[in-house]
Amino acid sequence: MSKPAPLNSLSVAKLKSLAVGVLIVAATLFALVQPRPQTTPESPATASPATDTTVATEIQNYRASLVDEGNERYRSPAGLLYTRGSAEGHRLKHLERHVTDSPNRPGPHGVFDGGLDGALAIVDEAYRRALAGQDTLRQDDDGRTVYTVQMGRRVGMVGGAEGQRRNHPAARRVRLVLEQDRLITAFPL
Amino acid sequence: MSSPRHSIGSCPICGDGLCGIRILSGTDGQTYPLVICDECEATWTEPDLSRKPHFPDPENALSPVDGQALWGSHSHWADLAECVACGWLDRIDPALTSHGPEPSDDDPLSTPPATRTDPA
Repeated sequence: MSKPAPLNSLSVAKLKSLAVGVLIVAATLFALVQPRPQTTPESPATASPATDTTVATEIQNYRASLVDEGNERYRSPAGLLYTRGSAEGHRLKHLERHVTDSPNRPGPHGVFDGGLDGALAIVDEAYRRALAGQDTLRQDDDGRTVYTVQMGRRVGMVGGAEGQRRNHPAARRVRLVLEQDRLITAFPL
Repeated sequence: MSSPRHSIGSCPICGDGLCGIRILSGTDGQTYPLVICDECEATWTEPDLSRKPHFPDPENALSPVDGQALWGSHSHWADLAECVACGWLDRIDPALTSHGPEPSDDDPLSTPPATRTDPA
């Protein structure tokens, strides 16, 4: 077996150069894997489907879409009229009863998803469906019209004492009670 | 409280409303009862939901008896003693009696009427 050749000055220089190169490469790789500091004041929002953002924005602004016709009358985009009336003093206040549960209330108590804005949007959608005769049952009684509209999806839940007994099932229909275009009451069921 | 204490049934018009017994103070100082749906305001002058109800004006609901406002400080949901006084006790559906945080009037009839807390 032959002995290895002894290191000379040229080999040592090469080794040193190689070591420096390895160090440079390692430092570069290390810098690449470190998290970069934020350079913008706001981080971009988590990406979400454009449709979800659009729907959420529409619902959020729905209250603002009511047109004030004066004398405490407000017209919805679908054409429903919210006026003074009911034990709560205004039909909007009455509708607001149906955005929170009343667990002590005997019987069922429909609760809309999405707060008051959600309720207004759902009621408008139900009204449009009713006017189009889409998945709607209509009953007329002495100037009052009662629509029961199938919405095809969950729009709320059944609360009240009965809803509690039934473990708060999802509500997929909306009942509208109207006098012409004036809303008397609306609730999911 | 905007919900009835004692009701005679679920509303045959809107389905989910409670047809509660409400006491109104007449112009002559006497009180009288009505049955009113707390959802759609269908109103009966007798505790019989099979009869045709009166539908008040949505923006100015008035009593069919004397034209007074249905909602206001002069009217309130009846307690048990008042249901007895107007002779409608036997028409109450006990399953629809409210057991909420309001002062209870589910006690025996010998108990004084509950303190009213609802302004309307």
